[in-house]
Amino acid sequence: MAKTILIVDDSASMRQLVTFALKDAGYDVIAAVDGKDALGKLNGAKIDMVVTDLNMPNMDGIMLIKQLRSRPSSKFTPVVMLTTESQETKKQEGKLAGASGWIVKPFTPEKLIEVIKKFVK
Amino acid sequence: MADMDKHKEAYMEEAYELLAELEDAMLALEETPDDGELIGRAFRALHTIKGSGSMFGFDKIAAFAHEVETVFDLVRNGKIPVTKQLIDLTLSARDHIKRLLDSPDGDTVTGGEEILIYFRKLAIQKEHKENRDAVAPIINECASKTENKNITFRIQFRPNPDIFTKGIDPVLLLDELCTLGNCKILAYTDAIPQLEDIDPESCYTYWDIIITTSKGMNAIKDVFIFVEDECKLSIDVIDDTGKFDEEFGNKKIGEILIERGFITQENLRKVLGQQKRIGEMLVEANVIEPQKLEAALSEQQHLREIKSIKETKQSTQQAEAASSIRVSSDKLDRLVDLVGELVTVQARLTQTAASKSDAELILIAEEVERLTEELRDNTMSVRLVPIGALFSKFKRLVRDLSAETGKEVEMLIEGAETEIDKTVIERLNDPLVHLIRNSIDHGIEQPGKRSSLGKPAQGLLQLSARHSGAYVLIEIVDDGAGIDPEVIRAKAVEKGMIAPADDLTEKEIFSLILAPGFSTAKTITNVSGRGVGMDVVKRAIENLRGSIDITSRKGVGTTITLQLPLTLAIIEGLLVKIGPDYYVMPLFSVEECVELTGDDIARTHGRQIANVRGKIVPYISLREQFSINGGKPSIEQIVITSIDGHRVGFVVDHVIGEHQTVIKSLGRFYKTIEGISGATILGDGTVALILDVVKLVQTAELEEVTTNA
Amino acid sequence: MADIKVEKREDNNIVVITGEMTIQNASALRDALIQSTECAEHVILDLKDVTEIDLSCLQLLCAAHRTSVNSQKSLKLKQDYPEILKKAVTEAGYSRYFGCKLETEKSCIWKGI
Repeated sequence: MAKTILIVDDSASMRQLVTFALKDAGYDVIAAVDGKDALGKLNGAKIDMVVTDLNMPNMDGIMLIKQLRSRPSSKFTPVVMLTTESQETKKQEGKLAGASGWIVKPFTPEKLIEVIKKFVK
Repeated sequence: MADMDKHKEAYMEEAYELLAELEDAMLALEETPDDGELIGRAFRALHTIKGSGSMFGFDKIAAFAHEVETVFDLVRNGKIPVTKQLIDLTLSARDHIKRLLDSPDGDTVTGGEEILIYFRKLAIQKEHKENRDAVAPIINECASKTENKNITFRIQFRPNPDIFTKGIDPVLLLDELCTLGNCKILAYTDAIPQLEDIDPESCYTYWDIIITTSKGMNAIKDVFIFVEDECKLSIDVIDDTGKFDEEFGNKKIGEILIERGFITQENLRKVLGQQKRIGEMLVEANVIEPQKLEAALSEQQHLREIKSIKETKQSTQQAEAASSIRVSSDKLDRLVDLVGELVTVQARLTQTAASKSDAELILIAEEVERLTEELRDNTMSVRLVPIGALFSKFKRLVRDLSAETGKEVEMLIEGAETEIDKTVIERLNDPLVHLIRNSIDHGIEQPGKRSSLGKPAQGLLQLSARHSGAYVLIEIVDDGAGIDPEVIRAKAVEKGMIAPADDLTEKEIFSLILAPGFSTAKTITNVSGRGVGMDVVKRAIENLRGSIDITSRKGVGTTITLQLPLTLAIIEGLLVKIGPDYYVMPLFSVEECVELTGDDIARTHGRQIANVRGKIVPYISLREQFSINGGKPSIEQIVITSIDGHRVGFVVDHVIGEHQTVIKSLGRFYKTIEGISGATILGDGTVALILDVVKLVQTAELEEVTTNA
Repeated sequence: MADIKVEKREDNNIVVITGEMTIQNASALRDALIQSTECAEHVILDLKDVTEIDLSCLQLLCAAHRTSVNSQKSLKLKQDYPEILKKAVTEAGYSRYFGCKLETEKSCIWKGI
C-alpha cells in the first residue's frame, strides 16, 4: 500500500514541486497551505509522514510540529522540516519541538526522496 | 634526466603492448561488432596511450590518440556503430601511432592528419547533440576513484529511549545502512524489561553493526545525520586495508571476543579444554552473556563472507592480470647466469662429497642438488612466455596479405598457451613471417581457382604450437596447392644443385627448398620473394638450435614443422672426451654411438667412412680437426649424428654420457671460431666446449672440396 | 488497528493478534498481552494475520517472553508466522543463534526465525 505524505507549504510552486517529486516516487500526497490547514486535513486521514515549511502564515511549522506531537494519532509520525541555510536557530527549535529531520532548500527531487526514505518505507 | 628517459622507455614498452591489444580488439570486433567488452578494451588502450603519452612528453601521440579516443568514447556509449570502415580506420590509426613511437623525432611521420579527418567526421556527426553525455563519464570516473576502497566498520548504535516520539524508526536507518554494503546487524535485547515494566513507546534495543563498504565513513555518518543528538553512536574502522588477509578473515571467535573486551584471555583458556564449540563452552562456563557472543559470532560470519567475496574477486583479478610483473630481460639473464654458476658449484659439491665418503656431507649435497634443480627449472620457467602473443600478431599479417593478394584466408590458432623461451619467441618472428608469407603467396590459391578445384573459396592457414619433450613443435599448415616435387626437382637440376640422374626421396627434394639460392616463385611479388630465400629461415631456426621439416601433398596442402628447444639457456648434450679435453655435443642431433677400432680404419684404406649395419657413414675425426696431439686409444668412439637428413659421425676418444648443461657464451674474442657454439663448466670446474656439429660438417665438406681440387 | 483475541484451550491459551503491530498500537497491545497471558501457564502467540510489525512491538514480544520465563511459564510463537515478521526480525537484527541470558530452556522466540 502506498504511503501517504502530507506536504505543508505556503508557496504554491514549492507544494507543486514536492508533490510532483513524491508522486513520481510512488507516494500518495496531500497538500496543505499552512499549519492550520494541515491539522484540518489530518483529522481522520491516515498520514504516514509530514513534510513542512517553517515560515508560514496562520500557523508556522514549529507550532505545527508541536501540535502533531501532542496528538496520539500523529505522536510517532515522522515530520521533516524544509529549512534554509540561514535558519540554524529555527532548525534547533524545530528539533526540540519534535521534528524528525530536515531538508535544506534548495534541494533536488533525489535528495528529497533520499530523506523521505529514512522515515517511511 | 636519466630518470625521464627510463620512464619514456617504460611508456614506449607499454604503448607497444597497448597497440597490440588495440589491434587484437579490432580484429576480434570484425567477428563480433557488438562486443562491448572489446570496445571497452580498445577505448582503454587508446585512453592510456593518450594519458601516459602526454605525461611523458609524447605530445604528438597524445594529441592523435585523443581524437581517436573521442570517437571510441562515442562507440562505447553506443552512439557510433562498429563498422568495417571504423575498424580499417582504427587499424591505420594504430599503425600511425606505432610509426610515431618508432621514430625518435616524430616530425618525419606524416599521414596522421588524413586519418584524423575521417575520425573527426565520425565524431562531428554525433557531437552537438551529445554534449551533455560527454561530460557524464568524466564525473563518474572521478567519483569512483575516491570510493573504490572497501573498508570494514564496526558501528555501535544506541538510540535514546524517546526516539520513537521523534517520528524515527531506527530499523529504517539500519535498512539504509544495508544499501551501503555487506552488512551484519545484531540487536541487543538485554535492556528490554518485563511486560509489566515496559514502556511500550520507548526504545530499549541497541545494535552492533559490522559493515564493509566502499562508500567511506561519511556515507555512514550521513545515514545517522538526523539522529546525531538522539543516540549514542560510535563508528570504528576494524579493517581499512581494503583486503582481508588470511588471518583476518579466519579470525577465531575467541579473538573477537577478547578484542571486544567481552571476555578475558584467562576465561577463554579455562574453557578451551573442553571439546565443544567455543561459543557454547563460553556460555555454559558463564563467562559471557549469550548475546555478546551473538554479536561476536555475527562479526565472525561477516568477516568470513567478506573474505570469500574478496577471494573470488581476487582470483578473477588474477586471471585478468596474467602478465602483471615486468622485469627487464637483463635481470632474468643475470639470474639464469647465476643459477648456471650454482649448478656448476653444486655439481662440484656432489663430486667432492662422494669422494670424501662423508655420509652427512653427501646428505647435504643431495639436498642442495634437489634444491638447485628446482631453482633451475623455476628460473627457466620464468623466461618462458606463451607463444599466443606472437601468433596473434600474425592475424594482422594474414589479414593484410589476403587483402593484397586478393585471396581469402582464414587463420586458426592452436596451442596459444604453449610456453617457450622469450628469446626464442623474439627470434622466431622473422622466420614465421616468411613462412606465412610463403604459405599465402605460393600455397593458397585464388578463390576462383579454389572453387573450381572443389575446395572452399576461403583458404585455411593454421598455426599451432605444442610441447614435445624439451622441445616445442610449431606447425604452419595450409590447405593450398602443395608443393610439386617434380617442379622442385627440375628447378634444382636447372640450378645445378643436383644431377638429373640423382635419385632423391621426396623428403630430400623438399629439403632442397631450404638450400641457399632456391626460389620457386615465378614472379617476384610484393609478398614473398623479397630476395630472401628459405635458406635464411633455415639458418635462423638452426641458430635457435631448432630444425625445420617440410611435408606436402600436391593439391592438398603443405605442413611446415619447426622443432625448437624450450629454452636457449640450457642444452641437453652428450659429454665426450678427446685427449685431456671435454666437449659437449647437442643431444638433439645425436643418433647413436658405435666403436671404431684400428682394424676398421685399416679396412677402409684411410677413407673416413664407417660401416654401420651395412650402411656407409662418413665421419670426421675431431682429434684431427682440432689438431689434438697425443696417443689415441686403441678403440675410439663414433658419435653418429643426423644433419639435414644425412648421417655423419664424429670420432672421439670416450663417450662420458648425457649431460644437461647451462650454456655460457664465449667471449667476443672467440666468437669467430667456427664449430664451437659455446662453453660450459663441468662439475669439477673444467671447461667443456659445446660443438656446433652443423658448422663442423660444413667446414669438413669445404676442406674436402678444396683438397680434391 | 490491531486486535487481540484469546482462544482458551485445556492446556494452553492461543493469543491471536491481527492487524498492525506498530508503535501507535503498542500501548494497547501491551495491556492486552498482559491480560491474555496472565492467567495461562502456556501461551502460544498466533501472528499469522499480522499485517505490519515494527521495532516497538518486537520489543513487546521479547518482554512478554521474558515475563513468562520469569514466572516459570511458557510462551511460544505459532510456527506459521508471516513473512513480514521474518523480515522485521531480520531487519532489526533480532535473529538469534543463542537466546538471551534469561534463557533456561532455550525457548527464545527469535531462534530460527
